[in-house]
Amino acid sequence: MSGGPPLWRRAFDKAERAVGSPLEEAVASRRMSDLFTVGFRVEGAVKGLFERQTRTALHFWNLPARTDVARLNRQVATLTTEVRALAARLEEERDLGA
Amino acid sequence: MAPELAAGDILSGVRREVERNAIRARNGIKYVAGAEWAPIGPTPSDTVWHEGKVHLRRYRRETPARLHPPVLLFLGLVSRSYIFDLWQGNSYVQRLMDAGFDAFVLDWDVPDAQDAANTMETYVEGFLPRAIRAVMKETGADGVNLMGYCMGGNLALLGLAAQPDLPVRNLVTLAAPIDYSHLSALADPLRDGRIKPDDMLDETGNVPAAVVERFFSLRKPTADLVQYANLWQNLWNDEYMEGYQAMGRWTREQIPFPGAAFVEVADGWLRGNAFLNDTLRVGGHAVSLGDIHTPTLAAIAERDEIVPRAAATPIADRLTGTQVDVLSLDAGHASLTTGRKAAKVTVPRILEWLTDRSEAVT
Repeated sequence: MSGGPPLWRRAFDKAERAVGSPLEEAVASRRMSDLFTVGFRVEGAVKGLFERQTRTALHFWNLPARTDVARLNRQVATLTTEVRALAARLEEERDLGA
Repeated sequence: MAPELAAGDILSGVRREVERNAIRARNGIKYVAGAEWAPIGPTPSDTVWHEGKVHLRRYRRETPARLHPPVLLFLGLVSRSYIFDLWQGNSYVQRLMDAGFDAFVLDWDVPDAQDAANTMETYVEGFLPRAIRAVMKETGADGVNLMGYCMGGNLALLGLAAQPDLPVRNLVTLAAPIDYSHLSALADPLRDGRIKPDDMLDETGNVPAAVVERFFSLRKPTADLVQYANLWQNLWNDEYMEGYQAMGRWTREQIPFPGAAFVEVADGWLRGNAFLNDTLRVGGHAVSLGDIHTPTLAAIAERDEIVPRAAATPIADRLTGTQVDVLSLDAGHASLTTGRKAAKVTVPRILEWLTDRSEAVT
């Protein structure tokens, strides 16, 4: 029996490179990066539109919208960082004093 | 004339294929049922320090360390740190311990909303120096050998640039990008400002893991198909299945990127190419790679598709205040630390450099 990959694998590899290489080049191209940017912006615009529509309804029922949650999360994150930094400074002072 | 095959050869070949197909069927059922060939992090370790979710693991040695100082390893803020202890027989930390070192991994863990405000200052002037002190306290050492992989190398360089007197005896960077203009074209929309980094953050304030995963998978659109072909071809081989499962899991398990740190990376490192242009800033103040005076080994993978050679090689020109040895290895990004190539070539050469610059424990 001959060595090397089996026949089916050699056929697969040939087909994969025939498709994969041009796809990789396309993904790395300027045109694709423009498409990603447009797609990203469209997705953002659609999400923003949906959020604006639903925010009013949620607030009417005294429920938080996504932007409210995001704002709270930012505040919690900032507080966490500050508390962590204070705790670390306290521990350093304690170590120096010991 | 075609060589004649002995009847015995044909029979043994057929028998081998029948046996393999039987194992293939068995392993196929096991795979679909979610069997585990490679448990995560097989080498025993203990968490010896933590701050929030960030924790420091010390790997258990069977015998006392023979070399000093201990090695502290870490990744960047992308991917899980169990790459350093991927599967039995293929563990970077085990190889460090076999060479005689105490091995520690600084694990940033999986960030959530509470970590969204973490900046580079948080990591390199907060967690990193405190983790170094924890290693020194654990081992009684007066310093550490620092090893940063990929973006971990950037964090190590930034930390040392900001605090040149950190007790770091030697620095090893593994595939650390310096010239960000050579990184994937997929980053172009961020690089040229068409997409703002803030627009990529979700309600937790972080870049979602799915976005990070998509960035890596888009580079190779047919990679999943190739992996399935590899799986079918090698399903009979338990040793292969171990590596396949371990590597596949690590590649898929991406983590969110802390928002504030991401904005700094996108604006400073990517757009401003700060490592190359020496315009790095930490906590609002400028820092320079030229202030680093720690002897450095920069390991560069010649066949790295994530951090191409051109992105990594400028390191020697940037660290003007110290000796930089550049080790170019015939390897890909992952095979700097895992796989047969790593075991036989890349890891021994890195360890040789580190061993030469460490001392025996008396």
